[in-house]
Amino acid sequence: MTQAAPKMEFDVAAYRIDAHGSVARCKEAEIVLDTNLMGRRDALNPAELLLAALAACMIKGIERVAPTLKFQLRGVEVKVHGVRRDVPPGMESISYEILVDTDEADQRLELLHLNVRRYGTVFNTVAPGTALSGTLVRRATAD
Amino acid sequence: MIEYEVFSQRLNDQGGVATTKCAQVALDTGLEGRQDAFNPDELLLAALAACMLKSIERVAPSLNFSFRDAAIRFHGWCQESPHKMLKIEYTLWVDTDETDQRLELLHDNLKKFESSFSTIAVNCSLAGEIRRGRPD
Repeated sequence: MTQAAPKMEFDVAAYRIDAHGSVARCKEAEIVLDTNLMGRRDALNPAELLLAALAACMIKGIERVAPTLKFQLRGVEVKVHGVRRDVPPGMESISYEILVDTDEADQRLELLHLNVRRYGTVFNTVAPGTALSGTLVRRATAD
Repeated sequence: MIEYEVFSQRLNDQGGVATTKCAQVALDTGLEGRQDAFNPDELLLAALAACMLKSIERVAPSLNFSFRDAAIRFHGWCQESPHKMLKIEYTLWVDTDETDQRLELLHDNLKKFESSFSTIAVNCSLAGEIRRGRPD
């Protein structure tokens, strides 16, 4: 079997500013990177960026499949929790909770979750290398 | 064992925002894409860039490697079905007066940290080269 040809390409450049941080540039966007050995509060470090990429992948996945499934929703929130392991260096586990504000049936929520897992690029890239688990649940309506 | 927590929220059909500590990052989660925010795949490359640049901060002092500046450029390829990152290539620039041999030594040490990414993206090939100076 021949492998499917790559379809999409991405470019990102990053520049060290000083020992405290760097900046990543892509298209017309910039992100300050916490590359400080001591860490810093006002920027994402590599692990947090990985978790943000995963969350973005899930939100975009929902954006993509919702119209196809005719899934009505008012909002999406994603909490991602990662545990780092030092030896060998890597992410030991990643757990997530996707909260969807919707009136759809529970079965339909399961269907949405299945689709998010199946079609997310970052999800599929990261899943084989770490213990990735999580849930997609209905968000309790705010008072 | 270190733990990380990131909270993300869809704002509308054009995008969202990720929050952790006192930091925020705009997310390009719209179907059409947008120029002023990183999409999920671009964020993955940004995570990798941060990982490499932070590794330089960590490795350089232990090697007594002095440098003025560092920059890295990534190019990633995704496949359609199943949707996944297939290949990532990078060019790393280090502005330094150290010898070529020492520059390679730095690169070798950074490759150990590449492995931390390899444990995450198991089936994604990652390769790159190190150059002296600054990007064009």
